[in-house]
Amino acid sequence: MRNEKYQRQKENLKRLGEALFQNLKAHEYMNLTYSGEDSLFIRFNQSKVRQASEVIQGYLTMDFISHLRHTKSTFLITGDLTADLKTALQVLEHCREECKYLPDDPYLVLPQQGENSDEEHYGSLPEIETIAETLLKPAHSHDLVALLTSGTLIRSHMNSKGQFHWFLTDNFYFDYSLYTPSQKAIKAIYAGTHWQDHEYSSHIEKAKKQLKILEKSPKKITPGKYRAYFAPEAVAEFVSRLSWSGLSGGALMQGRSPLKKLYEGRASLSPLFSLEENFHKGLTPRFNEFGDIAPLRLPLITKGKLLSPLINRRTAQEYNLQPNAASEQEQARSPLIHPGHLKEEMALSKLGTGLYISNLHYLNWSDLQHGRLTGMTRYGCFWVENGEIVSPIEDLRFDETLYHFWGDALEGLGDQSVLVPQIFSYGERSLGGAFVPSMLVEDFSFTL
Amino acid sequence: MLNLEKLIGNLRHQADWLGIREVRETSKHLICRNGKFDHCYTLIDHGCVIEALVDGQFAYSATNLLSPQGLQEACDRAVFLAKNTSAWKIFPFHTGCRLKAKGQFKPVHQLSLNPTTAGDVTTLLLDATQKMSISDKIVNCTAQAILAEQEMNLVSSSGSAIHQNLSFVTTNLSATAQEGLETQTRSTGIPSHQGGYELLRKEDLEREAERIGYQALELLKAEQCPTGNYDLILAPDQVYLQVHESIGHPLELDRILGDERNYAGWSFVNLSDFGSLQYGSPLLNVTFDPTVAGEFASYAFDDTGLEAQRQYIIKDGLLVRGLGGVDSQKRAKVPGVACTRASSWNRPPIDRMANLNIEPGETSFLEMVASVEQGIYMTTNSCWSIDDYRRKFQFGCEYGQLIENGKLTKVIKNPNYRGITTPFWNNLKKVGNASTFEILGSPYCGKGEPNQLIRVGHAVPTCLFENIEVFGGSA
Repeated sequence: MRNEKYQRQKENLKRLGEALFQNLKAHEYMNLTYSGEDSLFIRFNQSKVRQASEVIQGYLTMDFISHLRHTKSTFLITGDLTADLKTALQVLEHCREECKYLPDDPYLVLPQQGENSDEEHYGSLPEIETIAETLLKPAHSHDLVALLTSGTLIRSHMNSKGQFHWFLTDNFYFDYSLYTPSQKAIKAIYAGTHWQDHEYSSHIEKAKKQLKILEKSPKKITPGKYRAYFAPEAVAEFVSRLSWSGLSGGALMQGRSPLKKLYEGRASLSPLFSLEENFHKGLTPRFNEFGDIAPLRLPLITKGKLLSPLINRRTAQEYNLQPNAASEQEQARSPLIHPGHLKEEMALSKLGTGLYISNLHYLNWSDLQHGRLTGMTRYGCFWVENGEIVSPIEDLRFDETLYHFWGDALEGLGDQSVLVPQIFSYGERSLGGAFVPSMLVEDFSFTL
Repeated sequence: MLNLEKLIGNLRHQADWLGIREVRETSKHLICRNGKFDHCYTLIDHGCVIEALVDGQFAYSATNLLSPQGLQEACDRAVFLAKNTSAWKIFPFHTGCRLKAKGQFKPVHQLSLNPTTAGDVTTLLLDATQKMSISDKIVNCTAQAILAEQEMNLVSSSGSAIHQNLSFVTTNLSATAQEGLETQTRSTGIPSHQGGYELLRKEDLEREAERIGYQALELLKAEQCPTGNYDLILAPDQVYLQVHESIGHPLELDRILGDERNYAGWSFVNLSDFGSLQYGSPLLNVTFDPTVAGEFASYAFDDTGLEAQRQYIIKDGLLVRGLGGVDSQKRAKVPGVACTRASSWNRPPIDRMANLNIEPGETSFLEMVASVEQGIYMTTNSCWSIDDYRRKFQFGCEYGQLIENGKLTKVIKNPNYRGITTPFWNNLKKVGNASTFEILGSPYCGKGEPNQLIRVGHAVPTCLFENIEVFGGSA
């Protein structure tokens, strides 16, 4: 049934696109990008339901080009082809009229013919009727705070040159924290495409065991430089911040990237550090807003050297660079840091004495030109002595440059790159995530 | 807009209370760079959310299927969700949380977006990027504007009928200068107001463009901000973010109640602190004021239909009231304000700070500078970070100046400072008078699960803080 519903939606979208393309005049071009979802959100606090909501939405973005002018409009469509075409034709007329008053776009990206794609990942999602009980019973004696997100996400792209891409995935994540009475917490995410009650139960049992370590009194750490182990979830925060504009070709050219020194060869990172875009897991579509298909693997930084930033066709035109099918914002969509040789079971003994950092919070550039980041430790972070956890710590502020922690001070990376899902839902749910290992760093600066 | 009063009467449901909120917003984002067109983007957003109360539990179903059948289906799903989660409800909400309210809000100054708007505004922005480009050392100039028109209707089964009609304008000019290995960016921040085209005056944009162009060049030659403890004067375009992060968020009642612990964070403030915590020095007076004309988050009713009124949050430094709407007030049993708001039709409303202002004091800017022997003046936020309890913060600004013996002297680059919330506000030594007061805001306040970005307003004066840890960039 669900499969049929989405096949109808795909066909309707194709027919809507074809009808619009037939309405184009000479010297007019169009890209259409669709982003839709049926989502369930349930918020929990104190192991109770705080808010439950559902949303059905489908946004179509019309990227319209007339001669050398260009404008873009996003509007809602419903799946009713007649009504949607009427709306879309009104938007098309608005775009035509608007283009009359706009100046030429000097870096226009025209649609191209190219390969099509069609990916569908159906899953089995949790049942709404029993979900609150399923989620809360195993945690009922604990203080659980969480968000359950579940549903179907669709991304599609088509253009007036005949290209069509379609990506559909079911997924869920249960992003949760368990708190001790002394206000310390363990954070975890159970995510996937096929919900399994027993998997969830074992996930939360593991978190409950970890919680016991937090019941000791927290140690106040004096600001200074410390040897530190960062769990993959913490490393993913660094990658997320870097992905925002750090890897963008346009940002590099415009002085907005912390990797300028690396790009210009005035600095290097550790030969242990390699970062790439990797779409092998199929968690996010490879096509971008221009219809370009990214390679399955795109090395960005290899053994500490920047090979290429992310460059879309627009930036490529402006700065005469080689495009690599980057997204419009030139953000990493499926980043992967190559694993190293640090065995996870040896993490504490390799750390010896120092800080075990499970999560980080609220990162921002305190000195962009030198790649310096500030942020906070969060959730289960510990003071470790001689390879043994001594106690949790009071949250610490750090201020450190990536040229240090991914450079000279990087002692090792974990032997597995694990998925840390992208869970943002501003306006719409995000897709994908980062594959990152843990890391061990010397002399990391904590300041407050 | 839909005839919601008729539609709600036709919905078949078994809810104890039902509300429909319809939001239609058209926004236009225009960007020019280096004297050239860059981007023209329009978002036409229109949908409804049904809020159903069943057995003490609220649930929401949002849809862009706006036919009677689409709304009936959304109604059925909202009731179904409320029924299926009510056994696990955190609090027994009741119809008293959604009292009947009627009214309208439509400020005088409105936008009227039409096909010529993009061209007209683009001409202004192109001109601004050319004015910024005062030297070949300026390598990137960006000018952007976001214009938005929003209509909101809210009706309920208890007879509420509210209509609000708002217009928003945000601008940003930014110039990046490079020389040798040095790169510096100077911008106008993101001034954000309610109003119409009167907020986009050519002469204002040109003046600001030239100023930031010159100041970007000044920063290329500037010394690094010194490290140490100094008296610190913050301009309104930094004070507003300090208020937002270290007063606004920690005082949101839903954070104090723990709703945000899994995402945005908790708060160092306890419910018992209202009426007793000396949050700042006696010079600190903070109001929640949705009535300020032109401020970015002004409105007459919040998204539960509660009438919005000006209230003191901090009076003479003492914490007196929380930032929480009717649902949080019932749960927390402390006084709050009308601030239950949603980012759009597709998210449920939660506690949001709206307009949160520092009342002006009595000191002029020159008097403030004259009172400082050794200090730093910082302006325009560039970096912000604060912990999940809203205690330990670090902020950076684009442009600084040394204050030596009561006078502004050298320009300094990469000025940063850090501190802890209540000691910092208790170190507030002077509050600027009305001549230093600016109405500012931001369209980018993020919070909530699912995530929501919402508009906030902050009207603030220049402020002087004593003995603050400041530092510069890397060598």
